[in-house]
Amino acid sequence: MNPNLTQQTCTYKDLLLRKLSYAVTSSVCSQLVILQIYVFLWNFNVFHPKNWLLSTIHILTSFSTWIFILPFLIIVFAQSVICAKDYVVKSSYCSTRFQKFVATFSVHNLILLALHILVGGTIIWLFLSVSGGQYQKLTKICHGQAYCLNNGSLFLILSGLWTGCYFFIKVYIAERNLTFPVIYQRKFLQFKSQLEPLIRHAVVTSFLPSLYFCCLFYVYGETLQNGFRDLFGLLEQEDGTSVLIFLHLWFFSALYYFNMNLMRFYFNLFLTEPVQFPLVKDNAGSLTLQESITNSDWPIVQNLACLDLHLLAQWSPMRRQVFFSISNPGGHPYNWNTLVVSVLNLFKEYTELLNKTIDLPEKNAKPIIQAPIIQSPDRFRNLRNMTLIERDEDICDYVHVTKTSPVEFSLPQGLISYLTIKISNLWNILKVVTGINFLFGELPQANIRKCLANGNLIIWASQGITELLCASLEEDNYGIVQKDLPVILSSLVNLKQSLDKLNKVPALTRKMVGYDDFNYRMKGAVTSSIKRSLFNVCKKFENYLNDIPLSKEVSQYLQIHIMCKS
Amino acid sequence: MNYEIANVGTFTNTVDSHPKIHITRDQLHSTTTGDEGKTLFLPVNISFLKQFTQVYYEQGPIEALRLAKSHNQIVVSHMASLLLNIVDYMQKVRLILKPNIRYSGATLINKLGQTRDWQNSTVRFIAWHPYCTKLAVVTCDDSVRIYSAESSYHPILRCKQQKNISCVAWRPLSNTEIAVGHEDGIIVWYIDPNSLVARPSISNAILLYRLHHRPVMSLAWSPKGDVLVSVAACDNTILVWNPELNQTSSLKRPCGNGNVFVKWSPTGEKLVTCSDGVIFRVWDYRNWECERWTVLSGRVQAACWSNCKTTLLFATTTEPTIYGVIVKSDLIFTNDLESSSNQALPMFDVSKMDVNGITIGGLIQCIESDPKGKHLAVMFTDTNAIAVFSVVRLPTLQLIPGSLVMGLPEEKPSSISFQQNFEAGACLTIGWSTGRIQYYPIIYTDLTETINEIAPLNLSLYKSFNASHY
Repeated sequence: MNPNLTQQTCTYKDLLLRKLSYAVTSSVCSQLVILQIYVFLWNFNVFHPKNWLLSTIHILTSFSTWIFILPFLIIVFAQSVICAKDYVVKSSYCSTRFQKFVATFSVHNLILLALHILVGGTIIWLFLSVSGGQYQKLTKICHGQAYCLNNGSLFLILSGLWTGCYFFIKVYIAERNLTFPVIYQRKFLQFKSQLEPLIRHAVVTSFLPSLYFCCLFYVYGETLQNGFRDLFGLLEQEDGTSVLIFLHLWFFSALYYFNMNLMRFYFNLFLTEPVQFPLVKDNAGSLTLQESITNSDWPIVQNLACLDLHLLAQWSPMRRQVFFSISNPGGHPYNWNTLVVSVLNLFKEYTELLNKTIDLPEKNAKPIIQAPIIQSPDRFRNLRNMTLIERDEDICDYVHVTKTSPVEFSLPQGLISYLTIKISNLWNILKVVTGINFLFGELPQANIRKCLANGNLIIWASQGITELLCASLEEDNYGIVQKDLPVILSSLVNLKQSLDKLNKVPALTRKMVGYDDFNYRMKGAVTSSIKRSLFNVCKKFENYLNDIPLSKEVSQYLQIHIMCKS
Repeated sequence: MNYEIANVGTFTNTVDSHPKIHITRDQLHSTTTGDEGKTLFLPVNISFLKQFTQVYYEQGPIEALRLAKSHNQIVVSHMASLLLNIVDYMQKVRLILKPNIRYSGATLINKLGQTRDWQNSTVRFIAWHPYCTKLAVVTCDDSVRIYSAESSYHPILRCKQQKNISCVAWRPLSNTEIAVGHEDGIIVWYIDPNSLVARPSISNAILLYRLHHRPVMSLAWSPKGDVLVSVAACDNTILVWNPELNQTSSLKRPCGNGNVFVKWSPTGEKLVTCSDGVIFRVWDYRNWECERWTVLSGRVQAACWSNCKTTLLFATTTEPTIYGVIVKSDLIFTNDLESSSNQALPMFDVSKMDVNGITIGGLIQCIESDPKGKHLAVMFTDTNAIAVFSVVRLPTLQLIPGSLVMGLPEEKPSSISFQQNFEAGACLTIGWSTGRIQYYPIIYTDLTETINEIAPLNLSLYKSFNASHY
């Protein structure tokens, strides 16, 4: 039997490329569909349904239409390919204002801005030219044989450029993160349930940019039109444009918003789709669940791996069994060991980052995590001592050598400290006055934000690993899990204690940020999931809790804060 | 048997430590509508703009427009009446699309909920904690009281957003959290067990609401406590919440105008949701695909899972019969046709009948099964006795009438629930309309085990109250 229970072996590149290519393809294809629907509705003719259908088909199959469509599709393709990078690659957290400033004006962003603007212009140009009507072309024949500028058409295309620019600056830069859905349904169902909110959202949010554009055009429109006419030697239009053009404007900005949000939706849809990772390494290049959990270079892979751990622990007895089995020659629980090491590393890094951020004075230097102390020979007599790994327990003996320096002339100690304090104060004042602090100083709570942005990892990993612990009570025939139980529990308690300290950070209290703040909510979610995970284990191992070799502090914490027994 | 003699303590000491609850009228808090202060003040003449802003802040934009309509300036009143007309038309269109919004939240909860005579009873819902001897009691003063065997203080959950509570649900894998479904949304309260505060503060609670998702009729936590499912009478979308992150996924399938009931199966693999039309659905937790079932008429009023994971017992609003349905047990190994029965089987006929001058049976309001899966309690819509059945499996599921539980002469049952951690057997808990909570412990002994196994042999599959004898 294949121990992975899945057929394909895959690498990061395969996995991500597959997901991204689906997303890009569907966003390009949906552009075609939207165009078709638009043409179909535009040619609406209830009295001649046959003509209606025929003219629609005629427009869509004509050669000129495809000549118009192709450049548009190429631009959309380029845009989505470049956007794809943003969703997959590790996003850098800017801890100073200067870094933020530099990051905003990166080449990548400038290219994207140009593409967004270009798409905004072309989308309107395409829809106008394909569907026909009075704004079909930028020029019109008037005054007999001369060419005039079609003001309405210019107005609409300029509005497209504006909407693109506005969308990029206002929306795209700000919201680039993926959100995992609460439950993963079939893709079509997700699409169906999201379609209506997407349309409504597009119509509402595109109103303001359209209004801004009207204001801008009212001020600068005349100049632009004159400039354009002079550039191409066109005449002024005879008849004015109708008021309905404002509706057109709103419609096209809504369409642009819808398109862009749809593209983002596709990325979200395909990238957050759960993946079943192989649990056993086939060859050197393939990825495994255990490795992916700590792979922080590709956050999306890391997230998917933790999600997979959570799902398999809950739903798949067959895949759970892979962890509870021992290797055939050798008899080592290799799969389980690698998993535990990865998960513990994840917890450890997170706890360290949290502690560093909170920056509270360390009271007890004594680590709470302790390796299980085997107290009596009969307690673990059923366990083969085959699995103990060395965990940072290098014992070194230091020989302290002291050397007395010869007596030298020095300034009195008090004077030196007085001077250093004065100088550093002066330096601090200088930094504030010249704005160095403003630009290069660390932003408050940048680290916390970074920490909490990765909250999903901890939520899934903690729930997954504790669910495996609980399942082990019935499914683990070799007692593999037993030896790691205390370490996992201690590190979860440790993490929980660090999270509790977050309550003291003023920027994360409800009074300061309100309920809608992402960090505040994520803090609640991580805390609650760790609490539930610990409760789950305590509940399942209720009768054996006193037999687990835990340090006094940890078991006390579990009794009081998790089981709520005083 | 009268109330004084029916002292459970003389038969068993298993419920001795249970909290004694009787909520009397003077324990209830008065509910304020916010308008009462206004009657104390005399109306004065204030400028129109001031009055307009006042009404806008206090009663909302519609009332403000009504006020503007009566303004003596013709431009203002015409504008206002035009806007009001537009609002009216929009409302009419919405009414055609969603007829349920015609009724107020309280009316809908009264009409479609699990509680009998919700409007008039003191106790509106009761729910046992999954692991502790802790009972949440919803009372008619829009508050939730928590009673616990271990401590003598009873926290009261109350806040101004929480109006017309339809249901509560304790969060699994947590000692301290409870979700309260009310007219406008959901509140997930956190009750710190180590503090002695009698009124936990709203600042520790999570307020969840979505536009149009109201009134919340029923709530169900996933067995691991990570997601919460809610249904609402005016919204045919079922929402799946991640409460901390305030994120939702929506389950949307064509059904009636709203949903009224949701319940997880004991193993957590299945979820049943009932709409206010003929359709009810059984969802699979792993991939959120559903099986669609329809009843002939009316709607499903009550449903519960037997503990064999696969059988769903339900009753409709039109027939006094308990039906059973076998749903797909495992999606991986079996195919649709093999494991799922294609029609529901009638399990027991509970038509009205007289026993010693007391009417029992009739249409069913609520069904509950005990955690061990051996008993089933049925509450009826118009008769006051609660019927307790034994559930046996031999090999198909069968119901054997066991006993009837009656209250005091004037008492009607409002809500029933089984204690989740009762080791000695099953403990049915009944909230009566007068505010009294009654425990009805059923102690399992070796004797009852054997009776259950032997007795049903000579009973037919389809039985009726009228045929069987107590």
